[in-house]
Amino acid sequence: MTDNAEELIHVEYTQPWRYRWSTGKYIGKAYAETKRNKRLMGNRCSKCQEIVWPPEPVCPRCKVPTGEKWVELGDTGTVLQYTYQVMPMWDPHVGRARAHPHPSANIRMDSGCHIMHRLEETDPEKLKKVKRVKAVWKEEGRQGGMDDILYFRAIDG
Amino acid sequence: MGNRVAIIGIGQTHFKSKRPDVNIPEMINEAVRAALADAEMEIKGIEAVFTGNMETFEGVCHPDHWMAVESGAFGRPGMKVGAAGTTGATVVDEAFHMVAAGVCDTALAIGYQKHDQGNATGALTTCCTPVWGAGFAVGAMQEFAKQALTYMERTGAREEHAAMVRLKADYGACRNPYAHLRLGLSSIDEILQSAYLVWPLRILDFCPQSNGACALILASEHVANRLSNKPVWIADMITVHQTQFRAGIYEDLTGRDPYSQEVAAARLYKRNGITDVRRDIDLAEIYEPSNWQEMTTYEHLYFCEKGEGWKMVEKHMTDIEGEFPVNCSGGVIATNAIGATPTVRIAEAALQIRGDAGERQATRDIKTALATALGSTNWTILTLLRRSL
Repeated sequence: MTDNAEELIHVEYTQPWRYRWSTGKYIGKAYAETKRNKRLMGNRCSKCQEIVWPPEPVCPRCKVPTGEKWVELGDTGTVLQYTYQVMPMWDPHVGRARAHPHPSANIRMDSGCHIMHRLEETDPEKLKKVKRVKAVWKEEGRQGGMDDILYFRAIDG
Repeated sequence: MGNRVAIIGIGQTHFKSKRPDVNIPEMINEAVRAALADAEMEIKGIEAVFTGNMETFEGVCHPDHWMAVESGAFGRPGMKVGAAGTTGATVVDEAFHMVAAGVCDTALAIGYQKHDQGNATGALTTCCTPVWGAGFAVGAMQEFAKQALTYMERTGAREEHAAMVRLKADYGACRNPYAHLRLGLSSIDEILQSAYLVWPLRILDFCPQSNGACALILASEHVANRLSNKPVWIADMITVHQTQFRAGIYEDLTGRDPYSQEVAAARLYKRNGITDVRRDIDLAEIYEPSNWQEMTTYEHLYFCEKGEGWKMVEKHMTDIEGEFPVNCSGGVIATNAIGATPTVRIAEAALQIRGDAGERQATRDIKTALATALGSTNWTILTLLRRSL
């Protein structure tokens, strides 16, 4: 057992695989709306009438089929909480370390729905005053999804 | 409920940031041998084996195959369990159900993780709903940060309180020979001077990536009474699931607050006659991803009123010497080999009940203890342990 004491040998392996995940009927519809029409669309639960976001076939609260009542979330909302990144970190959503220059925020849309997105303002002092915000959409290169919105910009009232 | 089940063997490895000297099966085997030695048993006395980890972290599709000999599973029934962050408790749950159901009299549950050889980042990509999360551009850490900010605004807690949690954790970790990060911190100032990752969260507010394994031997009542002079009884286990990205739905700002913890705790307490948590339970080992969440977890588990978790910390109620000790082991913030982490919570709670926790043994006598597991996405598993049923 002492033979390999000076050299601990490892087997190296790099996985070159790519994945293509189906978005499905409901999120696929929402993604198509951001891509083609620059609109955030959720579906309204047939029972509790709340907007389900991201859209799903079953309401997580009522456990009933949500149905096909699609509703726009709108572009304006109010910042409930925000934070900003100080160091680049692992982002579990993309599997690599990266810095987010734009602060992350939780926004209550005027339609009542909560979403998570970024803020345009990057100055920590000015951020304290950012309350009302509006989505700034990408004009080019929209692929479907929340990244079709660049960030949320501060607006008056 | 089925037959009574006890933990009669506890084994864990020394958790470290790197274990290049062993492969996964060899690492598992260290914990298995330790558990068998603790129970004064041989592997032939084990009837079924359950194993689990965060499987894709090491890039091995069926690790149970690889480790069949070293885990003791060769020629025996059992299965590999995958439940993300709660896996380490789910393996115990599976063993518990099998013994409680009378399918077998003894079972071995093993949770493990070998972070040092895997691609945790690539694996984490597939932990979030890939279709939804991939375009999101905000990580989990930011949500923890916003939770912390909201907690401060709502309750009056300050960054100092999070630092107190870290200091408490390190005090326990330094007394736990199995713990990974044993920093020897002496004041909250040291923590408050560590760099911000995401405002207001600091490097020292988070756990390390650890390597290691933990194994528990469970036995039916007649076998436990025959083989063990200090069985720790599993009074109950409960699992509650939650969905992800549901901000606002449960009156929860970020959609990441563990709603499942409150539901699980309320159910567990009700069916075990627990009406005053701090009177009826003596100690807890909780799964806290960061020191901030330790304080909110106190509230979710009804250890105190809402908004008062930080006060328990400030009053040192949850210290090793306190009236309601929490995470005497140093907790997850000191040691996080993800697949093993919930198993360690149960193991450490059981050691406290046995009085075998050495320097990290709580000052007060521990007869009843609660162990928690939290995993993506906010699933909760609770385990209630008792010295006698």
